[in-house]
Amino acid sequence: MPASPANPGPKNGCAMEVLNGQPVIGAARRLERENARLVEENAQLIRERDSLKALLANLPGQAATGGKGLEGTMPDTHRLLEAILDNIPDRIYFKDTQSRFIKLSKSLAHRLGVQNPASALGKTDFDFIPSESATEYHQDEQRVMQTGEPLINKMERQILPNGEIGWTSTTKMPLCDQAGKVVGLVGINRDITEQKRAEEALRQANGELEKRVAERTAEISRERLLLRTLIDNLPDYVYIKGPQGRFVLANLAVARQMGFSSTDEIIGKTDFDLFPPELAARYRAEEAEMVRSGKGLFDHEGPTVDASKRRKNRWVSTTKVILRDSRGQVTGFIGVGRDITERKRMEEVLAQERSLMRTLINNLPDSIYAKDSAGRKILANPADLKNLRCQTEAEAIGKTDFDLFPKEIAQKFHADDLKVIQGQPVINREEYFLDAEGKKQWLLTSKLPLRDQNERIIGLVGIGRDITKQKQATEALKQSEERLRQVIRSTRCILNYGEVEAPEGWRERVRNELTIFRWDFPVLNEEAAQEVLPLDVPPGRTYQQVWSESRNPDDFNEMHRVTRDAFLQDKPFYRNEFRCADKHGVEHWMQEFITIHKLTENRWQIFGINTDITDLKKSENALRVSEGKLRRFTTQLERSNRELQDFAYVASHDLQEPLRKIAVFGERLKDQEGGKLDTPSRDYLERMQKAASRMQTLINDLLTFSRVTTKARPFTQVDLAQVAREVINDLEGRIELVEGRVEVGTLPLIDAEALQMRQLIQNLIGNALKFRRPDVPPVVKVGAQIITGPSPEGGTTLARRLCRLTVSDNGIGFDEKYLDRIFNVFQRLHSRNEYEGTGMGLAIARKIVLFHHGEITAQSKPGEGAAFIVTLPVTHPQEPPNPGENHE
Amino acid sequence: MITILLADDDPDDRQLTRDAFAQNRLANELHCVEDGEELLDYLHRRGRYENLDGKPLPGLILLDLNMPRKDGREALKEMKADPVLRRIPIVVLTTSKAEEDILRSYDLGVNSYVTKPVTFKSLVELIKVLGQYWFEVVELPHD
Repeated sequence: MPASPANPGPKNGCAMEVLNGQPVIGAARRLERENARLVEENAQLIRERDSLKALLANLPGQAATGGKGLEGTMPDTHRLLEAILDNIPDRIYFKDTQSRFIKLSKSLAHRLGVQNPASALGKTDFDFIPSESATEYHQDEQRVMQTGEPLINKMERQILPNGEIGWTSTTKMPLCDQAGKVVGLVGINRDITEQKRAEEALRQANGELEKRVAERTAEISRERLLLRTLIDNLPDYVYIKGPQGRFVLANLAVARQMGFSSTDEIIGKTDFDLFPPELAARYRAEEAEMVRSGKGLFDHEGPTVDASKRRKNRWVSTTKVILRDSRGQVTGFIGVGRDITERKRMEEVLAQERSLMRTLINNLPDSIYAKDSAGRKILANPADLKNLRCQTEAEAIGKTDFDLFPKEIAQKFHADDLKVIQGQPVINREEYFLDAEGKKQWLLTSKLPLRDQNERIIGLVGIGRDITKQKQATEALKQSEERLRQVIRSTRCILNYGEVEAPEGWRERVRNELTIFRWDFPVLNEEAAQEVLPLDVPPGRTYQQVWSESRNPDDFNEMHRVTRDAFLQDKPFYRNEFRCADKHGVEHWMQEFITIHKLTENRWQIFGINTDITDLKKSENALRVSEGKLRRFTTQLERSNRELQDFAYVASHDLQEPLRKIAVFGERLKDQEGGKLDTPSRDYLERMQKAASRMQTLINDLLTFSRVTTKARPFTQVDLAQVAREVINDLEGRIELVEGRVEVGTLPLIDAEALQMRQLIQNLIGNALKFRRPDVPPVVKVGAQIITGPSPEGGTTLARRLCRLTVSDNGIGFDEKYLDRIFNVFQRLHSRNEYEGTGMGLAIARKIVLFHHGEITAQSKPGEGAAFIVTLPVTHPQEPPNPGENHE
Repeated sequence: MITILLADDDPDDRQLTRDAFAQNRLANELHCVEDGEELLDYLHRRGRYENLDGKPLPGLILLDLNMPRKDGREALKEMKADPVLRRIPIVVLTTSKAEEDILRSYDLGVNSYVTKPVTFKSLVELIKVLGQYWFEVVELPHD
């Protein structure tokens, strides 16, 4: 069969199978069968020839040992041959070396055109057929006989006697004698004209078929090319894998993704050859899962690699289905993948933008929210959530203002929302809600419609700024302004406020004339002013103008001087007093207090407060008079006080001298002349001496008393415990004498005059020891505690620390109705016979305490002991008042 | 024999001191002046004391503080400012018990401060003690 130049190879055969042209196949099969038959026949002929050869070899009667048996049963060989030659359709002939017929079959004789084969004996082909053919035969025969090589099945074309062309298959074989010498040949011609004709018909049919196949193939090829081009140029990845995952088809998109220029690089490979292992494993797992579940993979998004094959930076959306054969066996997978990296990136960018937006929204101090058209929250930032008193956004989402706020507030919000949803934005609306404590929280809110892609309003977006503080400030300002207005209205002052201007170089000129200042200084509160200074203000004039003219010219010079100096010296304020006549002609003393705020070198802002000081002036005068009196009186008092102190000191000092003399000379008299005196005289002398001695004690005490204020030294820090120890030490003799006991508790350090403290404690302990109960040993307790008292200036502003010193005893006590008396000079509650003393001890104690800005008191009941309580400041902010002069 | 100088404006006190000296049998000469002026005149051998020039200065001065014309404090200040007189021991003998008098006297450099005893007996005792102390116990500078 001739090969088709257009469709070489197995594909053509494949195509044939696909096309399955039944008639062609039938013809071909017939042809094959015929051929097989001919080959079989040929083989038969060869067997026959070999038999003939054997016959010929035995022709001289030289039979084989076995031949004997045959002779009897078989007809004569010659006859057998004759019978064959007469009846066989094939043309058989024997020729001698000269190609002359020796013997020929009847069929050949007929072909040669003779009736009897015998008539052809001795003749050659040249005698019967055209010489062209005869020559060919002759040459063939001569070659066979000369070479000994048979000519087998040579196809020969013949012009038959009837003029038709016939075909013969010729076999020519040499005939050898016993010695192997060629003696002729035997030929067999088989007429294969029919066969040839069939062959020709087949060939023609086949040609037709080939043509049609070629056409069909070309058509398929075009379609294939088209499809291939289509697949190759699809931007999506298209591929088919075999059941083992080997690529059997892949388009250019796949190749390019892998970095190949041709799809051939991919065919036969698996994912493991092409992708990083983890990706390949993933794909394999996907496919395994598909096979397991029997389900395809649809629009599955997953990572993939780019041409560099290094980075998993691309995304692909894959649809993959299983391919099965007619028996349902898995034959592979067909997949379509689309690179969605850009989409993914866009999604990522969108997500980032969204995140950015969200971060922005979440961190803005303003509350930001969105609602759908039904007023339900669809977004709320933390600032908004705080207002809504929600912890999380989820809490707020889906709720309306009616769920979140009291009805009346929600209604206000809702009214705005409705407007916005109808397309009318609400800008800078001041609105409020109540916080957890019920306080108004103010928001400055703008609401805008929220639209979809088609510009349809689907809700609203709101932004609210917390303006509570501003609101409160404004409110406070309003209130304070109102208060100020009230104050200005109701004040008993005339208030002016305005500006003063002066021309350039005013500093030089103002010394001579004040009128160069231009005053714009109106009265702020005319109504109140009329109360202060009633004036007739005619229409067209101001209160200020009339008031200026009401002033007493006698005060102008001083006023001008003060005012001019204030401006020249850049003073922040100045004050004038002047007289004005009211509309009734009554004179008022007025005082103006002007505050200056310098704006520029020759422009000032000024504020004036004018008060009626007539009464003040009057009392000032009165005060001046009484002040003079007071000063004189004080001076006198101070002098007399000083004189008194001097007197007390000097007197007590100088009184001592004569007393001492009385005592001493009395003593001398008694010593030297005692023996000469009678008993009454000696008694007088003793009484005189005792009186002198008592007088001396009195004077000493008076001296001590007077020294408390006149001879004090500066305050220092005094350890009262130390002082108490020293006092007890000094009194040791007395304490022992009365078998007494003094217990001292914790005593503090205080600011005081040390010697006076010693005097104080000594007097108090001495007092306690002195007024003991008969037969009861005295027990004196000295203690102290720190307490907080009112400040020295009085009032309760500043507290100060005080030391409360207590000296208590178990003595005779006293009736508290004498409390006032016991601290006075020379006051005694007992006769001298009972208890000695001058009655100065507690007076001195009180004087010391008062000198230290303290207090002294006592608590007692007769027979139940007494407690003296001294309160002294722990510290003194300043030095004690001037202790006075020394007088000696 | 060391001379003792007594400065006291009170004639009674001067008499009592003399009596006390006599009672103690002190052989020392007791000279009396009546105020600060006279005291300094005596010490400087001035005025009515010019004739004493060349005689030894007193070995001890008993000084009252309260005196007319020039009181004991002023006199004390002047004596202690004088390079020669400052060496003479001074015992203040006064009625004042005032703390500030005591302090000021010692500040000015007196050697002792004694309050006048209230009884004569004590005065005699005081003079005895003073005599023993200043003339037997301590060493005094020589001229």
